[in-house]
Amino acid sequence: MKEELFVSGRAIPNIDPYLNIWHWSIPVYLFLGGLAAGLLFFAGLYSILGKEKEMPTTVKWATFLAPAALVIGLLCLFIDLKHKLYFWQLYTTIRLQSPMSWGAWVLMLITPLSFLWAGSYVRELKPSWKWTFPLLNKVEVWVAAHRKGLAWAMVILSVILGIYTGILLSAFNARPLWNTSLLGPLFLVSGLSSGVATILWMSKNHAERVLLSKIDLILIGIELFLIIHLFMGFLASNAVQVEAAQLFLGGEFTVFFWVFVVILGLVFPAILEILELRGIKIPVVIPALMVLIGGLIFRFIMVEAGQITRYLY
Amino acid sequence: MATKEIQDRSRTYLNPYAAGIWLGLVLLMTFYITGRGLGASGSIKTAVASTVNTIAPKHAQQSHYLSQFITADENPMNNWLTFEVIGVLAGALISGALAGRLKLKVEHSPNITSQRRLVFATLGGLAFGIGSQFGRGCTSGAALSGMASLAAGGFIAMLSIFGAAYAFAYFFRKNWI
Amino acid sequence: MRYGMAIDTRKCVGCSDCVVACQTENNVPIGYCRDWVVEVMAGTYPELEIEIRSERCNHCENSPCVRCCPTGASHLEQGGIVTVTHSECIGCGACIQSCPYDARYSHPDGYVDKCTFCLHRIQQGQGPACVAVCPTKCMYFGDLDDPNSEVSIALENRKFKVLAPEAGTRPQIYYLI
Repeated sequence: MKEELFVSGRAIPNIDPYLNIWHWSIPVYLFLGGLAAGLLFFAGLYSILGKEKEMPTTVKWATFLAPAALVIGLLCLFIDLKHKLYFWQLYTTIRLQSPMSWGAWVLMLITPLSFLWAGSYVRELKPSWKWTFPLLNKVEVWVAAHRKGLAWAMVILSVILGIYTGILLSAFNARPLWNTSLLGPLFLVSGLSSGVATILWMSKNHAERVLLSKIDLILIGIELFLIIHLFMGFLASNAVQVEAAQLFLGGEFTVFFWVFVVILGLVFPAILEILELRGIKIPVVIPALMVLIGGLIFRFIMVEAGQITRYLY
Repeated sequence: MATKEIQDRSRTYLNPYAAGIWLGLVLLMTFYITGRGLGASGSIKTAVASTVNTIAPKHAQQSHYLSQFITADENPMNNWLTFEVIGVLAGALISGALAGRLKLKVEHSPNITSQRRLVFATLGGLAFGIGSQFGRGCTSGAALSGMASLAAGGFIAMLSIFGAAYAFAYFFRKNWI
Repeated sequence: MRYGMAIDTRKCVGCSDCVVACQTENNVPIGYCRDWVVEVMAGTYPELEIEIRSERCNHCENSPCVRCCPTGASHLEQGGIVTVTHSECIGCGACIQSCPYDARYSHPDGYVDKCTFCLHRIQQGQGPACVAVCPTKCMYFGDLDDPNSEVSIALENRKFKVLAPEAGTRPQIYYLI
């Protein structure tokens, strides 16, 4: 037998018996960040490809959600800080070795960009729109003139945003469940899939919906592939990671992960989308909502389970 | 072209005897895979117990009936019936979509309004809910799975459910014909 | 100049004086501690072995907490001591997530805190409080780069180990076994 005890009686709040210093606001932010990354990536991509007319919701209308998602996400991050008055310190330095620092700066760049992009389409939605400040008219003209450059910036920044939400967690090697380089791509693909699901839900154009369904199916396929390889990686790794994987293969998170994230969040919506592509009518809200809820629950589970795993004790 | 075929298909139903045999085979598979039969009312019961426990925990602890299902360690919703019901909903969604019958509507006899249908459905559901807790199960759990395992209670439940329906059908015939 | 500690697990009796001294010296809030004592019992009765360790922040050479801090609040001071500048810390908790030894905690005032090797005492030529009060004198503190410091001498002739070497952090607390 081998027994380890804290003889001095350690019971630090949020650290013992299991680390739980990050609560609901971090998974909500990770979800909203991924969603915004997905929305902006496809908007930028289809704008560069010149498909503004065929994919109006993707390039224009869905991006109205991105600034809202980013602002709410930033608020969630702010709520999570424990030394809130000093939050501005984040913007006094760029620390290349800290993914949290990259994230702070990427958000600082992509949020105004998303406002600019969505703002430039307001007039199309409501022709009688008048900006409060005359400067904004000049900004609108500038954005329309530089749309291609802004689209490229959006594509690059949204990929960084999507991947950084995963790299943020995988940089914490001390949590064996997160100590895998697959988390970056996994969170990116999950974010892109959430974005596509939202656009699919909003779109009224049949051809656009068909293309987006196909893209969503590919993304779900990639996500399932990555999840399987995630677990294969854990089981082939060292003892702490095998133990971490056991949380999902018989441990307390087994049912919630495989039923709510994989089956109801990925496989079942994929089946519904395949049926829809075959001509069988299914209300689009059902697969879209399931993908979104699956993505949210996935992040909740990863953050909570990751904090439970540890190297020692 | 696919949609037109489906529109014509929505009026075709599976032969009820064939459907019964399929259901029996599903029940057999369920016994083989999970070691237990099917169920339904139990999931509603745990949902009620969880809800009452969240809103009025003291009442839930004091109630002799509800307190049985509320334990400190396990969330009452974390049981196989909840997941079975999720599966039923998912499967019904696919089956309804394939049959072209996926539409939000109230099915009722042309002689009555949908409001009347809903009111009577609620009353009937209430009666069935109360009855199912007396009998520790409804048609799928007590009657079907019970009969499948040759439990005397299963047979009695089945006979009572159908007998009572038969006896009272005369008084509610105006809702249907 | 590389500050480190050597702790003799064969002399430690688990009295936890080091824990109390640290809490007193550094005004650690009630319920929190910067160091703690772990007892490991291994084997099958009657062949049992016991190891008692006083653990704290290991002031790692390759510290993940310094790397992942987004504001630079978590930094290396003179001699490789890892400290947190309270006015630069935003309380994001990244360093807490990145420490394999769970040595950091979130202070109720908002910033993140941990063992500082009593930097304020070192700057006055004294050693850390825990080393000073240890009744069995099992803890040695000093400059690992100086071959004549008590910690270097302690490491010369004894077998030692570090905690979780596989995490790659190169901790500077050596347990003499």
